Amino acid sequence: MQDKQIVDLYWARSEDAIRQTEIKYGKMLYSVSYSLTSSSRDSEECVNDTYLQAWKRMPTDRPDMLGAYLAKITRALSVDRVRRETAEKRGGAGAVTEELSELIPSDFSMDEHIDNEALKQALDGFIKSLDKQKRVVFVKRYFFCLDIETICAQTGLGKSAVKTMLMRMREKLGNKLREEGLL
Amino acid sequence: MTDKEKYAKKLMDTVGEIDDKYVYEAQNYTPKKRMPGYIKAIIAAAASVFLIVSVSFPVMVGVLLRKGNYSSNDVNVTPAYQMEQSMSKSDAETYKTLPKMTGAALIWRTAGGGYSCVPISEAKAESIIESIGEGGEKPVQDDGTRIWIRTDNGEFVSPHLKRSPGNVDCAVFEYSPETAISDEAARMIAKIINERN
Repeated sequence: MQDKQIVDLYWARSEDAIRQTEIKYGKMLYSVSYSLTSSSRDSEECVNDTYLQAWKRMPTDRPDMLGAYLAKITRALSVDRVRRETAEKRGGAGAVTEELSELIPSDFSMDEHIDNEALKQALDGFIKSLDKQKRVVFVKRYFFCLDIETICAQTGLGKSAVKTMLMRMREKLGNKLREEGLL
Repeated sequence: MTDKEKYAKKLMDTVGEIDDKYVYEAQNYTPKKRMPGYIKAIIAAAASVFLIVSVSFPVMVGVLLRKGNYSSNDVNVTPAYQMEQSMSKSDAETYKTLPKMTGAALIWRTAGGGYSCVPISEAKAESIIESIGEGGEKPVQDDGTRIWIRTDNGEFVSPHLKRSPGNVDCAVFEYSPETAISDEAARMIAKIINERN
């Protein structure tokens, strides 16, 4: 079924919307969650929570790209779950958060209020500035929290190429955030 | 929790809010298919062959030119330094007696084997050279006579072959007995020889 038809089902408050979502995106959402939680049970729960969230948000929202929309919900729920249960020491989310912290100086002081919207815009701008291959690698690592081997398999790149690419992108992102006064 | 950890968390959350199109793009990314190894090997081999041929062909032609095996307009090329070697002993002795050629000249070998050389003007040499190829091919009796025209620039041009880069400074072209020179060239050459005599 096409995304638009599934979204229409949500808007029509048809319970078939969730069944069709599960058929089309269930496996993908599970893998997104599993990359972050490393737990089958948690992943299944996060996926079910995703359906519930989607049911609540639509009809207000009308996403053009339903898969991406749902993946974002699953990711947020999975990250929350990992933080709650294990203080971020378990699963891909913890490792990725640690990796992102590498671009932050150790003496960083968050005295000032960080403007969330400005941070989001800076990040979107940074991602936009990357070429397609780098962008995909960045999103696969820091959004989907995939491990390096999986990224290599999905992009056809070598392990060292991906690692180097990620390291340079982190440096570039750090520079951009500093330039914009967000770091 | 340190400020660094807090900021890293915030960053992690913000990555989760990036534009849907980037998420979609990463989800649906298909890497470009890599060319199979054997195709790469074939292309590399073809490129190598092309490179070898493109480099070696001009070199080979140059070598052949110097060895006198190159055939252009069905003539053999004899390098100047081999000129004497290709002659009979008596011809070579006669050839050595020719005055040192420093300008345009008409050189000929008579049917009896004697060599002669007459200095001519550059303009005369040019006009003979211009007309020698115009006689076309017609059967002539080879009585052993050979004629060369040397230009001011050191070119040796045989009567049946128009000037070409191959004969500049490096070779004397052998006379082809099947090829006759034009009447005009024959008249000019005969005039020079008669005036000398």
